[in-house]
Amino acid sequence: MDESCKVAFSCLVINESGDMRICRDMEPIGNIKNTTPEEAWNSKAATEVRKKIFVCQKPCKILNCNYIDHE
Amino acid sequence: MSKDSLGISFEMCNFCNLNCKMCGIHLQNRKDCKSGFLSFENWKKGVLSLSKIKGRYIDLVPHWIGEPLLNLDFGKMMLFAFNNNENNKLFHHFQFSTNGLLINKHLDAIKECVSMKNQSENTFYFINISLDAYSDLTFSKIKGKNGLEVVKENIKLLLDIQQNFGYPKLHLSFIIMEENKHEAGLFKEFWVNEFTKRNLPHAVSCRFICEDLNVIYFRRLSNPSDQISANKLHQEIVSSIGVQDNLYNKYPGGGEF
Repeated sequence: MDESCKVAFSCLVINESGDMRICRDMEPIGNIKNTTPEEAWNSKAATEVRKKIFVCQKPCKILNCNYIDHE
Repeated sequence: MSKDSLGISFEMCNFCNLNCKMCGIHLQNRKDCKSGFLSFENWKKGVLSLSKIKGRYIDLVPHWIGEPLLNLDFGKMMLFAFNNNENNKLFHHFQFSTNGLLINKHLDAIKECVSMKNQSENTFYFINISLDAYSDLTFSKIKGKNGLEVVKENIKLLLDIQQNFGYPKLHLSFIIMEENKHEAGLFKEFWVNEFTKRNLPHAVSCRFICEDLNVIYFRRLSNPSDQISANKLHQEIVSSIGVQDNLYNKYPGGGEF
């Protein structure tokens, strides 16, 4: 069963205070108050977070996370 | 979510009015997290800036972990997004998850958004409603309080809208657990009957599917401490109620919503 995390290129989350994240357990890549989603998505901070996601072994599989569900 | 789609989720409210035992909200590191709502100003700013994202199909998802309909501005925010989305210049689909308890508070706004003519008719694509129970007793055991009848009535109101406008489709989800496994068959029968008597297209699935259909969706429990047992239970129960896993070839990579 492939349960690898797929969030790196498929979703962006903006929380109630405006922080933008690719993974909710990782650091923000910007805030909506001073950065657009497009700028944040293409930023160096986003690249760094993606590197961490690719090697992340955390089996979070939390509801609403976008992991693949097939056997 | 198709290959070139990008889901933009907004956390409208970071807490919930239920206390479901299987919910990921309990697994978050929320030590420094205060309860709060997304402001209308931040919503406006974020939604309007979606036009700058090129080459992706945008799924606008006004929901992340908390219950989005607790945000009293939810209807106003939704109307703002749809009113500024002529020719789908901001987003292609709009979809969210809710526990369904407060749908009636936002029904007029939902109806107004679904009926807008200046964007694709399937823009308000679907609403996922987490039910997870057939009986009041099981609902309250899993979710910490009563409310199943309210949710059922709200779903019927949404079905009335769908009968008039075609959308939003509904995903009625049931996460299979020890506490509710005995009700899976009754749940399936009840909701198949509701869709059938309204002549609304529907499917019963054990995987996430995203098409122009209503879906009665039997989900696996996400259980980091014992995923193997959760998977086994899911397989046993869906098989026992006759839900075929024949969608695999058609939807090989159906991601969780």
